Amino acid sequence: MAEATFPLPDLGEGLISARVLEWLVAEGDWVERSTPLVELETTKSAVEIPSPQSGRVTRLHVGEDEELGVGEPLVTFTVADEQAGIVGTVPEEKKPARRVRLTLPED
Amino acid sequence: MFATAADGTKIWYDTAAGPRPVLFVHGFASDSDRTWVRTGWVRAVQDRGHVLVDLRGHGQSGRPASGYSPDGLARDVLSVLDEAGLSEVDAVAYSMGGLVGWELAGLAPGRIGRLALGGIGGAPAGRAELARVQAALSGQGLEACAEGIAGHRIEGTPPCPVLFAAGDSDEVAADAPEFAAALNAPFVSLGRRNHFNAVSGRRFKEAVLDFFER
Repeated sequence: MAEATFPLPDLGEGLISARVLEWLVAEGDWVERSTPLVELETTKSAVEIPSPQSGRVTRLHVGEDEELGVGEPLVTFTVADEQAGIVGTVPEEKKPARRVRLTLPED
Repeated sequence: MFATAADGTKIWYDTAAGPRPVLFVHGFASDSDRTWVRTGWVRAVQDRGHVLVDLRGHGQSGRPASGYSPDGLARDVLSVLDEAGLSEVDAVAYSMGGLVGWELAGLAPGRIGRLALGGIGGAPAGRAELARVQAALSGQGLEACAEGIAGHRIEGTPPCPVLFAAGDSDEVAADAPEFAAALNAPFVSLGRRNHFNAVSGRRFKEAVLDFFER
């Protein structure tokens, strides 16, 4: 088993933070992917965020009525090893280690 | 998808088939995406199916200069139900959408089975209040709609079984508990929510779905 942390996603409209209105899961709960996870309030509206994956909730990083910035840890799940790292991390863009020539050299 | 209103205005809608679709009617200065999609409502009714509609002057629908009375807006929604081929739905409506839902249920007997009204009581829609809602939601180009809605209120006896719900801090719907009681309709408190953050609440969804199942 491994842990995967899900950060506050970009909610659009240029907003950089949100307030937790209500957690819809508790630490220790098993949640399925796409089930309601948390309600967040921005300056303009309230939104419900579904769980990005199945797993056991090991830590809620912010309490209700607390403010959180985009990209800061929201919730940590314990997940099966093969799922670890999928959630909340954008794959890094790495430069290719070596170039591959698509045409034959002319020499 | 678009339905065409009697005056030719294009009315945006989206529908998912199901055993008992829920019609969603948003409020002034908002739209279906903000009120019902991002708040998790569509997800909450996925077992039943849904119909979303953007009222004229809002979201992806056309913005003509007239046709914004509760009756006009209700006829737009009726054209969506016709276009979608839905003979009967249950409906959830929020704020100004409640005026539309109420009107629609009276206009088309039998088409709305049960009607859940959030964020609205019995007071007439006031211009100052509409302006405040518009400012809070950054709405634009809504003068004609404000003109068409201002002064209207929920009137008469319930056209079908209705449920009222509002946050305890909802100033727009402050009289909802007493108004519901006067109509002999159930009222559900959405806790310490205000007019703008009550829609997504779990208690609202549970109360409405429970009401629809009765």
